[in-house]
Amino acid sequence: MLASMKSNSKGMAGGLIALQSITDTTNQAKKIVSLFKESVEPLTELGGMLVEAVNNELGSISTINASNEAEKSAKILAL
Amino acid sequence: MRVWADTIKNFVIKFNEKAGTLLEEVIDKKGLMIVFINILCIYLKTDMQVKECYISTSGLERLDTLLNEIKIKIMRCLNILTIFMFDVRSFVPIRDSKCYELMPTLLPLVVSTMINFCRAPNIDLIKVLDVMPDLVPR
Repeated sequence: MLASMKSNSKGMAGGLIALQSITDTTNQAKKIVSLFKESVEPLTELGGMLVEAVNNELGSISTINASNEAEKSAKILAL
Repeated sequence: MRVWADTIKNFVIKFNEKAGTLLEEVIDKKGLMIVFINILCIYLKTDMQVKECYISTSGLERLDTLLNEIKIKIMRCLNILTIFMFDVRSFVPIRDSKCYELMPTLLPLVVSTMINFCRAPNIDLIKVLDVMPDLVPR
């Protein structure tokens, strides 16, 4: 799962969803701490990549001509 | 990004529920704190967007809702971490933590957000807050 977070975008999304589900259902302190220790680095890296990707996408939206609402909406839906 | 924020929120909430010092694991992760701040700073440049304000007010409702949902999750995490640093573990040398180091960056952002949002002429505060209708002058 953690390895997949470092792979291509589909694997990354899959790994992240799996991690979210596990953190939703795991309640044992030991398990959650070890999971955090193992995943914090790839999670931080992924967070940075997501911020960059969203900023790039928003940058391209802001340059779309104001009259082209359909294109804007399509880009926002894709976020 | 929503899933990412949910995952981090799950960790922070569960560490907090377990009491003790588990949150020390989080407050020392500088990279994570920087991502938190960077997420709060995401916005779409439009005429409607309030300047120096991390609440998304672009005027594109779907985008504003999405971004603000994510930012609320991040703020909840930061709130839990701040309470932990200053109240729960006040006897631990928190000044060495990375989260504490970034407070001078974060707090002015929070204050300017509140001031600029409340002062923005294009924001109807009564509508946004939608609370305590009896206190609103008619």
